[in-house]
Formats: sequence, structure tokens, C-alpha cells
Amino acid sequence: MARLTVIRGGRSTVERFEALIGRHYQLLYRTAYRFTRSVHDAEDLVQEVCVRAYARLDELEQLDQPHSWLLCVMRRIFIDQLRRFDRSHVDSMDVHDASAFAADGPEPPEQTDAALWSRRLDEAWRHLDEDQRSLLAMHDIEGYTLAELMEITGLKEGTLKSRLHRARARLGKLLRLEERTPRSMTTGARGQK
Amino acid sequence: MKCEDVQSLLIDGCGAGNAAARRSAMEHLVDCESCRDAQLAAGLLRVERARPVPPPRPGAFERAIAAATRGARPVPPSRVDARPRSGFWAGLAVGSGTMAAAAALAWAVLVARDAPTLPQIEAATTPQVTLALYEPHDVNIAVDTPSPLTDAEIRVVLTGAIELDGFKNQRELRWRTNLDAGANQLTLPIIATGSGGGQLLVEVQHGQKRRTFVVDVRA
Repeated sequence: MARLTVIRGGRSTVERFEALIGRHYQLLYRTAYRFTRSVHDAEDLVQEVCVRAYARLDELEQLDQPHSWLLCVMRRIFIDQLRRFDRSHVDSMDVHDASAFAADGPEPPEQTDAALWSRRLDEAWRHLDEDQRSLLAMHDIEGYTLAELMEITGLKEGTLKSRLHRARARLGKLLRLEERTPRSMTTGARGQK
Repeated sequence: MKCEDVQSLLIDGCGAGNAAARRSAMEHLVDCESCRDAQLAAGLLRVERARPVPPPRPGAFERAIAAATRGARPVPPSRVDARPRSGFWAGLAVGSGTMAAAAALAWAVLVARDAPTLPQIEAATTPQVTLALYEPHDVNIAVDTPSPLTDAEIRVVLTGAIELDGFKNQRELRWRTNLDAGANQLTLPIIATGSGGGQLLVEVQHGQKRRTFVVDVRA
């Protein structure tokens, strides 16, 4: 089977693209996973970034820090997709049923372990908006500095600080709400169904 | 003290060495539920940072590359004409091709793949394709040969206001490859950069034999 590939300087466009993405794939995937908290969704998100990036390969190869551009695109795609397809899943705090956050079953001592908190975080995370998720994922989990976030998001420092505060406060409120939900009340509510 | 400043101090550690500011922040915290919530979240997210990320599924990287480069990837050859041929490179138009040869070339050579609409092919001595300005469009060229060609050289030359996507300002490319017997497909992502269009020349050389054909690209 013939392989007819356009080649420049001994490397095809696809090979150049593979090399560029290969250098950043782990970073992109990890960040995408922090955004989405799902392996499948993270892979899809990175794939969409790759589709956008391929059209700009020449420009990306000229950049000293192409990962900033890639992350910027990833954040935009994530926000756009959620706004377009997932808006209905972002409930209002006012109407949310706190019992939905409660863990299943009785309350063993190990409920305080990291896995349980991570599951609670999964629940609360879905009730943050797309901007809040992306900012918290990059700054508070992945450890990007405000300066890096300013470059990726194009937001000013004051705006970033303000949005980060609101995101944390909302997440904390969701978690606190869940934590304070009496287990017996939750069980009772389920029993009535 | 503003909530954002309290967070900068207590969560991000900015100015943490200032004892007075830290005391002021703690006082703020007592009365501010929002900041206490934020502290709770920040603490949990710090724990989350240490949790490993599940690896992507096998082949995820390759799937991403394939999705991005679809159209630029070599496409498996497909037989466009299974009739037995006796002539060398029977599927290629010869330089002085007749009308019949040109028509066959237009049919065999230009096939739009993964495109919402087929390129317009006009009945002329030179195959033509009409593209929208500044939109990459795959032009597929079928190179049909009755016998395998080892180490053939392919040369692509662009003239006028067209570009090969990913090869800005590059007017000529050449490379060597092996061709199977039958139809071999070459995909060229072409961008029309001006209303005047241009011409795409593809030349295949094997040993002392050479075949050339030209495609008019209109915008």
C-alpha cells in the first residue's frame, strides 16, 4: 500500500504535528481531566484541541510556549461545549436538593478519607459553572500561577482573583451543604421514594 | 479587608509574612461565611492536587492525532478502475492527452473526500476544481498504475494564488515513495488565496519515465 505523504524537510506535516502534540499531550490530558473529572471527556476535549491545533501548526511551531495557546484553546472549547450542551446540568444553588450530595449507605469511619471527599467533590464540581471549573482546575489543582492564568485566559489579575474567590466560595458552600445534610434525613427521603 | 485579599493571604500565601495583615485576615474570616467556604474548598482542592490522574485509554493519543489530521493522512488506495490496462501508467493523463484522456483524468483524479460538496469539475481539457477562498479543501489525486512502482518521485508545483495548507510560501515539494499496482491516492489540502486561483501540477517520475498533469484551481 503506497503512502503518499506531503513531506517538508524530511518530516511530513503529520509527523511534525505528532511531535508537537506529543510534547504536550500529557499536560493537555491532565488539565482536561481536571476540567472534566472524566477520562472519556478529557480524551474528547484533547482531541478537539488537536483538531484546532492542526490547522495552526505553522504558527504553533513558531511559539516558544505553545502549551499556553493549547491550554487557552482547551479552556475556550470546554466553556463553549458546556454552555452549548450542558447548561441544563448546572443547577441553581437555590433549587438544588442538598440530599443529592449525600453519600450512599451508612456512615463508616472511613468516610472522611480522600476517596469519599473526592466523590463529594465530583458532585459539587458539576454544580460549578464552566468558568469556575476551569479556573479552579488550573489554579488550585494544577498549580498555575496567576501570571500564567492571565496569559492563558486573557483576564486581568484582579478579575482572576475575584472569580477564583467566587468559585471557591461556591464550591465550599456546596460541600458544606452536603456535609451538613443529616444522614438520617437523606435515608428517609430515599425511603419515601 | 476585601475577600479577595484575604484569600490571597490565607490561601495563596501572598504577603503571609505580614503578621498584622494575617491577624486582620483571620478577623475577617470570623465574620465572613463566604471566605470560610472558600477556605474549605481550597483545602480540599489541595488534597485533590495530590491525587493521581487516571491515565488515558490506550490509543487515545493516536486517535487524537488521527482525528486532527484526517484528510492529510495517507488514504488507503481504492481502485477507481478495475479494467485491465496494457499501457504504462494507464490511469495518468499523458501530457498531450486527448479530450477523452482528459475527461478520464477528471473522473479518476479529482475526488473530494470528507467534503460537504464535491469540487466542481468542468468538462475541459484541464481538470478544474473550484474552491472557496481561504478554506482548505482536500483535492485527491488518484495515481493509477498497472504494476508496482518502486521509489517513484512525486513532485507537486503550485502556481498562482493557491497554497498547500501547512506549507505557506512553499511552491514546490518533492518526495519519493513506492506505488502499488492500481489506484494510489494523494491528498493535497489546497487553499485558494486569491480570486485568480492557480494551477496545481503533479508529476510522477519512475526511472526514465515521467508523467505530468495539471489541475486548474479556481476560487
